[in-house]
Amino acid sequence: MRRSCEEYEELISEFLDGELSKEEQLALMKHMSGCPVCQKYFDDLVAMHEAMEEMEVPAVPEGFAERVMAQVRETKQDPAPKKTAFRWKRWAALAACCAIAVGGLWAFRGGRKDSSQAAVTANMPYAYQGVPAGDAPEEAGEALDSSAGLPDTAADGMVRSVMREDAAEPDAPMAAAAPAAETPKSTQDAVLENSPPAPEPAAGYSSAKQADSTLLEAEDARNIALAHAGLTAEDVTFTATKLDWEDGKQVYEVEFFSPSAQYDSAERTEYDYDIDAVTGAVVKYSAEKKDLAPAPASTPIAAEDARAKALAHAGLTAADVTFTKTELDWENGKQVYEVEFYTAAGAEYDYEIDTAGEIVRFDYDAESYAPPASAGTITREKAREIALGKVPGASADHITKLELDDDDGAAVYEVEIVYGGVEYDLEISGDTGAVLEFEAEG
Amino acid sequence: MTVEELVRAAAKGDENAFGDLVRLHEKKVNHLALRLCGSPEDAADAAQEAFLSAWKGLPSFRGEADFSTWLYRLTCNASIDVLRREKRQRETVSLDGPAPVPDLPDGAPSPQEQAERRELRRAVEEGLMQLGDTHRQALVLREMQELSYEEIAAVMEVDLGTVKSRISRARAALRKILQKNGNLSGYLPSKPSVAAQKGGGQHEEKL
Repeated sequence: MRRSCEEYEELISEFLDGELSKEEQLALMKHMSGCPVCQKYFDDLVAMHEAMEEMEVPAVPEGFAERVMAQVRETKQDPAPKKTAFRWKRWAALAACCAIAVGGLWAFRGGRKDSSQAAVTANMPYAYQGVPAGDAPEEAGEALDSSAGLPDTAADGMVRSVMREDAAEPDAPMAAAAPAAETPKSTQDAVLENSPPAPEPAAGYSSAKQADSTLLEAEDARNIALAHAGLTAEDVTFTATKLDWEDGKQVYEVEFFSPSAQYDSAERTEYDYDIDAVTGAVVKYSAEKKDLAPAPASTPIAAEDARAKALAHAGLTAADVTFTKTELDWENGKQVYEVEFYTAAGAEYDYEIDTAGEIVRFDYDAESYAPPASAGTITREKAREIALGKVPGASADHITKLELDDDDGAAVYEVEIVYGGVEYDLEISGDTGAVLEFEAEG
Repeated sequence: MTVEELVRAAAKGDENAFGDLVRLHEKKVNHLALRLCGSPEDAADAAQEAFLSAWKGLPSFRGEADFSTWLYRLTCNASIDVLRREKRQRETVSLDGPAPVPDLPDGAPSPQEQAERRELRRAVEEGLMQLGDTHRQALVLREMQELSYEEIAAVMEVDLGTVKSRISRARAALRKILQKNGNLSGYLPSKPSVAAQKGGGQHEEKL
């Protein structure tokens, strides 16, 4: 793979945030060892990163909470939104009913990611949803150790959570979603300056001085757009829903295309709506028909095929491994299967395979996978007791959080206690009850 | 009470519960506001507005986002409002720089190194204020609040790819500003690399 220095700049940025896969890190190190320009870029970014890290957390201004509370006591809360405030709500409800009737509830929750995943799960009975993606916190550090020629300063502080996600094409979800060689056929653009005396945007999402009203939910905005387009959630794939400001008003930008991504279609129509986030009015919309010139020639492979590809690549058979995840996800506007499994020896494999069956990316970790701890060794009660034992005087009332988390396969209770103006954060092993981490912040 | 319980109570008008929420979050909100606004006065205003917005908006807060995620979003919005108001009030550029950066009592770097680091911190603070709003927000949420890309995406209501590119571009822009002012050259001497020794200026490499 050949990358430009500009692309490496983005990798460097992600590296600083601990967001690079081992493979990408190695590629970056290799490149930098021969590219003084990128190396200087790296050094500069490390210097900046350190400077920001060294900046002090300022003390809260004297009497801050008191001032806020004095104001709060004189300020009425905005009323919760009423269910039948707008006429369009009926449309939305109707659209929702249709969608549920045909079993397509999926498209209502969240953006393209959710919908694509849920859609797959529906026709993929073997989908594994067990382990959250990208729990490999130590990875970045290991790769660092093994790579020469890095400033030592890079090693500390900057390796945080590692999360695998390819470098996506920025700011252009639509363009990315419809790959290669598309030719606009017809463009219909309509701008409706639909501005009734709109109430001010809700305080909840904006500044304090704005008036009494509330914003629509993203889901409402999507339903309005669908109703306007005469489509149901079943027909489309959402590529973006975001709240934005447009001419001093808050609008939802809703983007979707039809037919939905689950159909193999040679052409699609892309819709682009601006919905007034307060009134629900369609402020602006456009629809554009696109040819998907070389539509995926072959039919998309199934989840089983993706797993088989990954196994073949790893030189293993299904009997050797335990799958922890097979999920269809969006990556750079393309759909890829994320396949994860581990062997009895604890080696962890992590593949991304596109719908044509190509391996887009893989990751192998020889030892990091620890199978999830058998539940119930340490109960919540016990964890609570242990945590409170570390903070003398605190009682169960002071616990603000008690969660069982899966930390790279090991069960860990995360406990937060706020007592005497101090916030205590504890991590307690779900296996042994050992206190893994204990932090206090005044 | 857990944060969730406090949020529920405050949404029903319980001022004491909201007071607890304020005290739990005031530090982070003030810090974020300071880095977004640049001056302590503006930051205090923005932080106060953010909390007041939260109070008013709580009845319609449905807990889809984390309370703190929502609060960060309100802080970002309030900071932008405060900055805009400031800008309108005095169209001229302020001559008094951002708040002085306190010395850090750590370790024992040489006085010269200390001075350089101090200078760089000051320059970074100043440079941050020259970035565009979305770039500054993304970078500050990452560097100062140490949010993950996913959390930043939730705060800013954009997708992960956008977060990634905003942070990367913010860093590139900040670096350019620092370079222009001479704050970066020589701070961390570039290690002599193989290519540099060969005199090769090859800026791209085949993998």
